[in-house]
Amino acid sequence: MVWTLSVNLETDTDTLRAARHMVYATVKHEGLSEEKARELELATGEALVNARAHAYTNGTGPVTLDLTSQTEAFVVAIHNAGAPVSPPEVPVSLPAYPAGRGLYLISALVDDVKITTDGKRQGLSITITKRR
Amino acid sequence: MSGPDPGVYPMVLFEIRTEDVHDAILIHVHGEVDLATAPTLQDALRSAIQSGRHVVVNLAEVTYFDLSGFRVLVEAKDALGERQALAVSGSTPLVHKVIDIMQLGTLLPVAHTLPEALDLVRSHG
Repeated sequence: MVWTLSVNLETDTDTLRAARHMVYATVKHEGLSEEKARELELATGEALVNARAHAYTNGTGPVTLDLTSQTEAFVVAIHNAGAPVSPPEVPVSLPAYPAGRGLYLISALVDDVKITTDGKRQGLSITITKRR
Repeated sequence: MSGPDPGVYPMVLFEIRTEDVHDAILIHVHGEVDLATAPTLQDALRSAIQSGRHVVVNLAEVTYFDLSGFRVLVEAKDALGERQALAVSGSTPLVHKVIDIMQLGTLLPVAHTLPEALDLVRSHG
């Protein structure tokens, strides 16, 4: 069965932690292995930290998180409503400088990462896919 | 009806215990290292480095470790004195994976056990 769980949150550190805990607990409950669930939790956590760091000047702002359960995978989509920017490239090797390291770590933990803009909404969306 | 699995998230989300073993300071980290808790690890590392002794960070009981933890370790390595060494020990699958992906082993000695980590810092020239 395909379903999506959607939450609206603020990017303060306590809420970010609660959000990644929710992703971990949900995918674990849905049968994902401990190792893969931890990897998806960390990828989600880094994506939320990125939203906090890059989208909002004072660190806190609204983010939506959609967790979708598909037959073959779990998909976490995080959208921030920050200033419009062009989507960054996902580095293919470990960056020498801090910029991009979060994205690199995310891409190494999951099976697919996409960063997109949506003409109708402000900000960026990151979509991460973890196969079951 | 069964209750939640108590092993999934421990009551203590984050705790640091510092142990003094004459020539080294061991920093035992429990729980989750993230944006909110990394500054506490940073403080513990700064005090340990100020002592002038070797430092070992034991991550065996760590359940979450993000880039803020990684940054604190790299920063600590840069603050070491000439006669000091810093090593990391313990690796749950997740911590091992982060260390691997971020190539922490190229910056710091990484050991699987505490005794191995102590040997590594003590062999520092």
